[in-house]
Amino acid sequence: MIKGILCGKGGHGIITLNQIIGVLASDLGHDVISAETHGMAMRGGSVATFIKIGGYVSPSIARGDADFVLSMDLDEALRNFDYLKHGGCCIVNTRLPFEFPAGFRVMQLDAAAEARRDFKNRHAAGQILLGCLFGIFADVFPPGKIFPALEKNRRILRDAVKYGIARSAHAPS
Amino acid sequence: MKEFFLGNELIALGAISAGARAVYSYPGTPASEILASFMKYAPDRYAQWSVNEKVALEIAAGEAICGNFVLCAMKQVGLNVAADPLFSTAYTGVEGALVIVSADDPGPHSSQTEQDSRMYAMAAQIPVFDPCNPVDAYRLVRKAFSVSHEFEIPVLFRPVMRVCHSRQNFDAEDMETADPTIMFNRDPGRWAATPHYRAVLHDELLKKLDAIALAEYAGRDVPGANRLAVVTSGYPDSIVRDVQREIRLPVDIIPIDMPYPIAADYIRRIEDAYERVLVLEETFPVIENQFTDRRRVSGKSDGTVQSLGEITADDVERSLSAFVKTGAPSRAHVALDAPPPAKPRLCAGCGHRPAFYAIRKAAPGGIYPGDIGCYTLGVNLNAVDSCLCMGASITLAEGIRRANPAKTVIATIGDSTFFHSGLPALVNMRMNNSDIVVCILDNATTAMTGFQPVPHEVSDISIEGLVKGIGIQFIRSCDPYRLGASIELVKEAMQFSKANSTPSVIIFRHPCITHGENMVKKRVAVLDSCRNCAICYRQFECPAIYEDRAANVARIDAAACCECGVCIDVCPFGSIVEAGDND
Repeated sequence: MIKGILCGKGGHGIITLNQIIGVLASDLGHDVISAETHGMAMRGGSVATFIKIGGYVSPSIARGDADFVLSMDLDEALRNFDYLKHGGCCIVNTRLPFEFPAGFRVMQLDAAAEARRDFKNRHAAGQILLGCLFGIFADVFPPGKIFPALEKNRRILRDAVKYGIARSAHAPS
Repeated sequence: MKEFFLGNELIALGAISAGARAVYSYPGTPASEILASFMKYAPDRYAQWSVNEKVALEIAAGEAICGNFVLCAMKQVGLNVAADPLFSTAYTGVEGALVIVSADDPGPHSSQTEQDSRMYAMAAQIPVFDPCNPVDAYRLVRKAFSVSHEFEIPVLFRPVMRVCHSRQNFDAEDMETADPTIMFNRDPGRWAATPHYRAVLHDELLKKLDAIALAEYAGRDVPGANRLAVVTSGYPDSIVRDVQREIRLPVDIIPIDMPYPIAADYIRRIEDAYERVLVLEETFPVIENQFTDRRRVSGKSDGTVQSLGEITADDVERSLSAFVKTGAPSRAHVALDAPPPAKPRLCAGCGHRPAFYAIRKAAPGGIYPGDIGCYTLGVNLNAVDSCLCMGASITLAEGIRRANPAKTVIATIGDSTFFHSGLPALVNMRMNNSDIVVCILDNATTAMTGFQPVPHEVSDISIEGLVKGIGIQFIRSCDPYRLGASIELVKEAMQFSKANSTPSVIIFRHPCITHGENMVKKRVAVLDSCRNCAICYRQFECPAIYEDRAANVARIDAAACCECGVCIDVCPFGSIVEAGDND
């Protein structure tokens, strides 16, 4: 159904975001598999997780085969951009916009600043990006179904996710 | 209701459901979460963080020879430490069940080697299972227990990092509560076998292996639908099946979940049924080498499959298209220039950083053997010159000192690593009176792998007491946050060792900053007098200090700073000061 990469640096909460998506997809009735990086990489190094929703048996993704790359950091988005398939979607938290190549749906936002400004919480940045992802892939994550499913997770900032979904309405198609 | 389980959680759940009543482990990525998961899902059963893998396996074997069902978990290099009991328990066997998890790390991502534990199974002559994903790991660990119990043999279970640290949704079944009879039955010919009886046990072991191979493979059919076959094992098996789902290639997929022992007859039937066979496995050619007609077998031997590194979806597609002789699927993708990957660093406020800095300051021309843990990252401060294996800082130091009589040698070792295998090394150093300063970096936890307990945290064992017990005279501890005192202490230890031709021990003691709360809280500010000498962010390499190129000064990243205040003492120009309320 969809395959994607979440990336950032150690401490960005990538593994938490990955678990939120995985649990949600499972609760929505999809089979889901993902791969995480632990250990040495956690000490501030580059972190990337792979997630595949819809009956796959391995978490590995080939280059040019990902439907999305969601990144908490511009450098990590650049590093993992080659996984994105033509027409795929790149959602990236960045202070300064970058000139990405044509042929991809790229959504750049200063989620960290928006999180501090609107939610007084820097952990909200990841969940704004998560909202963008849910908005863009609304067929997999129907808004009417995700909020009841997210209810049980107390780490979810519903308003930040809603903000991200609204933000994604302006994403290039 | 399906839950989104980590592979290591499903390994623990599988063991619990198979009746495992105890688990022994020493932490190591990617195996560390198995024991904690076992405790979480079966709080009424027994779990022990042992001091090292050899100890863990021997206690596990002790329980298993009395009839208990026991799990023993470690990372692949941990199995090197536990190799001695591994080979011997293969001969004696067990009464209950003993499953040894050895988690491999192709890549490697966080290990010294990318060794293949399946080779250990062949060398020790015990069965090995190789799961392809977390759900498969649940199924196979149960099977491993059943084989172990039925054939009274220890069984190796080898997941790779991508199985341990993958998550998959799964509906775990209810736990079985096996209630084995547990008692030690005296049988010296088996449990205390002398070489003569060992030969008898070896004969029995070989017969068990034949019986296991037959039980697993005699009933398996070879599909024979295509002229080509891809024999898969472990993680690459799951990738092959995902690739095959999207690009239907004219090949039969033959999964091998127990790479050793494989019945010779089954291999022959595969060879007879196909024109050519590709073997896709990670990392060594364990299955491939069991084929007899190598002219028709592709894999690592003819370069169709890589012989090192982690196998990815790209690699599998490349190997498959080379084998089937079709072009690799072409997918448009664009690679962009990115700065080199962020390298791992010691955390802001980590007590290890000033300890390493003090060592460098006290002995600028020294040689610094290091060890395994977070503090291997002391390499970023140029204060770690070697990293061989657990405990080897102390032994390597002794060897390096012998080879370099004119040099000062200062070894660094973490508290958990010291207990793991540094202790016999220190005994040896003391016995030979090598004049080395050994710095034990005591952060009161096993930090790298997720804060597993250490002996001096959970008992009244003291590092000082142990060191004193072997006759070391210079034993001093210091909080490395006191930088000046730390530098002086290293100098003092060096002088003592040199003057008395004997090792000295410094214990740099500061609790792990990531595990607990920083109790110091010294907010700092950079003054205008900063001349951007780069010492604080480059030599001391604090991740919370960065260079402001435009202003040509160092700046504090308030979000990253944990207010340890050590940089105040690091700055030689007094340009970093404790901040007032208005700063």
